[in-house]
Amino acid sequence: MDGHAIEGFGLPHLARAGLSVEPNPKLAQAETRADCAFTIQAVYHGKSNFKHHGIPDVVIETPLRHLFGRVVMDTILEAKNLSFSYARRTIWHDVSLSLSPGDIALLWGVNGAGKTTLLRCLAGWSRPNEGMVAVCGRDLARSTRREGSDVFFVSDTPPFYEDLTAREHILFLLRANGLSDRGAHALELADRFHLAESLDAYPSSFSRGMRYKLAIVLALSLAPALLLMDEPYGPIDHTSAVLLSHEIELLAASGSAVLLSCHQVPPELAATMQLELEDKVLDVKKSTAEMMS
Amino acid sequence: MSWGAREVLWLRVRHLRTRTNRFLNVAGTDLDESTSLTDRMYLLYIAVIIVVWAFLSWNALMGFTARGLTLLSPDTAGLLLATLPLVPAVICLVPSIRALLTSPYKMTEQDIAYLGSDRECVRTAIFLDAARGALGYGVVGALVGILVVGGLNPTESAVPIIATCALAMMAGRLLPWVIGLSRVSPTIRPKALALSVSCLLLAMAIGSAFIPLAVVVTSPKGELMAAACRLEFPAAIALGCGIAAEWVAIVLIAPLTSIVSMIDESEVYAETMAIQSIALVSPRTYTQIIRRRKNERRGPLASLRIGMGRGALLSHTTLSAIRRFEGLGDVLVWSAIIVPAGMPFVLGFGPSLLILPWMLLIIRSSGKPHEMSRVFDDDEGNRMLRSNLPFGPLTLLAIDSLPALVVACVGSTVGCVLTLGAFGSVGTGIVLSFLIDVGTVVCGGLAVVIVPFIYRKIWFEASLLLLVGTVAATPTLGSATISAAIAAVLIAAGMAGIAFGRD
Repeated sequence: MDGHAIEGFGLPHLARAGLSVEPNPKLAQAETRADCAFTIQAVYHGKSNFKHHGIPDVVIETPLRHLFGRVVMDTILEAKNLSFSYARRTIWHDVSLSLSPGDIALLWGVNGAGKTTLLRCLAGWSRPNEGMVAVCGRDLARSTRREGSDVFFVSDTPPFYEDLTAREHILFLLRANGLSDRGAHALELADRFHLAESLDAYPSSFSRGMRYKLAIVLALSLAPALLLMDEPYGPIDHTSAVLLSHEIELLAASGSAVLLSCHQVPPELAATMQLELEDKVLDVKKSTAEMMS
Repeated sequence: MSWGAREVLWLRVRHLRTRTNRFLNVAGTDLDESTSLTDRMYLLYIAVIIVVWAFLSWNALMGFTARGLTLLSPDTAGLLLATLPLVPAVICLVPSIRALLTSPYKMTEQDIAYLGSDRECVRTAIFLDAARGALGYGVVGALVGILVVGGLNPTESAVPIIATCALAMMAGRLLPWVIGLSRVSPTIRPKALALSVSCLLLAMAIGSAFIPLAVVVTSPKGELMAAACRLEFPAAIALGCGIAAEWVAIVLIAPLTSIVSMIDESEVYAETMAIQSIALVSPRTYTQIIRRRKNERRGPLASLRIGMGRGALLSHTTLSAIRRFEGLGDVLVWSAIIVPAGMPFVLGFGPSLLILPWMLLIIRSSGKPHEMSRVFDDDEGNRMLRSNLPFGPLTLLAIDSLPALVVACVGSTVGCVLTLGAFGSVGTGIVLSFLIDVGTVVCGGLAVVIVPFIYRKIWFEASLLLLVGTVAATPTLGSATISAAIAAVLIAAGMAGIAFGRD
């Protein structure tokens, strides 16, 4: 692992989020992908909304494999000419989309426009009729489970195991991915989302909002290269929504890309891209002027 | 009869009518809507068919049992007669243990809403349900008695034997009620004493079932049958007294029971009552729903000693097996009873013709072995988490099924030792059983993964039938080695299909 990777790593995005990067000493010793768990200390540089929530210093943990992907490819999600039909009805067609490290994209569209279907296709949960989806340079249609996933998709009704508690879900997922050192951070995140008292209960006893928050904690603690969320602001309370916005910005600042569908304007979230599914076509608006219009 | 009691009786008759209607719906008719003469004629036609079918089936069963039992020597027949009381003892054991944990009287949501507030109604409902269960079991016991009498040709009157069978079943059915009701009675103190007395009652009931066997075994040879027959009359009187005592206990305890406790313990039953019809179409789905709800109600048992990577997977699957322990019971029944039961016939130590009913039993019980790959099903069914488990499907299947497979292998070993020990082919039986156990796991995997070349999942029952059919073909193939080799090749092919398949 050379210094170039660090210098080239998502700095514009970190700057945009008001963060600077101090490489962890462990990084100098990391030579292979096996050393994939390391930390980047992102030091707070005066973002008022962070201070408002009493988060003076934030630790972002990022798998090294994601870092490789971003530095070398500079594109996390590449979707080309996607089309999807269901029961002879075209849901959308000719959808092309590209997300870079640090991108936060909002996906808009009326009910039934196909937002969830698009997210499912980008996550590899559904197969588009045409087109190609690549995440971190890997074609989703050809990738195998053994390689692990760079995508975490939080669907509108996240599923959980029926025989693991919330705490065990967090620890299990992290340890299965060899990321045990993130356990404390993940549990702290759960605490911030007001899940601390429910961590030893089965998620089946949770309300919809709590289930969604647990899924958010799982996703954020894994720090995937691409985070997809289906209407995350719908089921959760306003305080958690603000916290989610900040966590999304931090994740993007660490070099991930985030795409979320929504019906309302997310509170305190600085999106870099707006996408709109309208008349079966995806309209990508990147510039501020376009977004404002 | 009080107004509350009459109302409950009317309600139960309505329930019976609704159940009959559901059954008749299969034949395209209904008790309530059949108003015309043609409809009534059709109902009568259905009733006649059912009666004729029942009569012919009963005759066939009588003939089959008589043919089997007449082959027994009088002493063996006497021993069999003395063993009969053990059947209700075993039958009452499971509900009695269950009664130590949960109320024997289950209330539906409607019962809770409309009867729960009236103690008189609940008491009547308890009496009715207990009496209905006891009578039902009594009828079954009497039928078993008639079957046995028909085949054994006992030296004395048949009536005491039939009565003993019926009364033993009734007593066995009422015991869980006594145990369960005394447990949910807050006025019976201390609780530990009530539980101890319950356990003692249970132990006495089971112990007393061995008395006839002990008496008969100690009788001189050649007189075992006569000794067994002599015991039937006193046994019937003792059982009658036992039933009377049990009924008195129920009558005394029922008014003391806590309705709140019974409502609380009926939660799972009440919630799943509406989906009972699923059990007819998909018994496995229904069982899983019930077990899931029971697990939720119990709360988390044990804790997760989590490892890293594959160790984390193993921790999860072990914990899942502990928390949903009912599944391990299924695995044990499958591996220690169902599979070894056919091994003597497969290995040529009995009539090969019996392999066919054994295979039918295997297919009929396919929900039990499917439990071995349940955690894999759970993993694959959870797309959000599965996407982030960095393991191929074969690795995931192997680790997820490991605890259940270990239990199955232990069960198979014990089962084969018991069934094949006398014939001296334990090793071969164990190898074949292990192949079935491992193959069952692979069948579970093939039911989830899209297999290359055929681009579809393979129905669990179909692949299981192929596997067991291969083992069952041993008499035709002439050697257990050949059938084991073919089964091993099939398993290897299945594993390759999972490894290169798409989940």
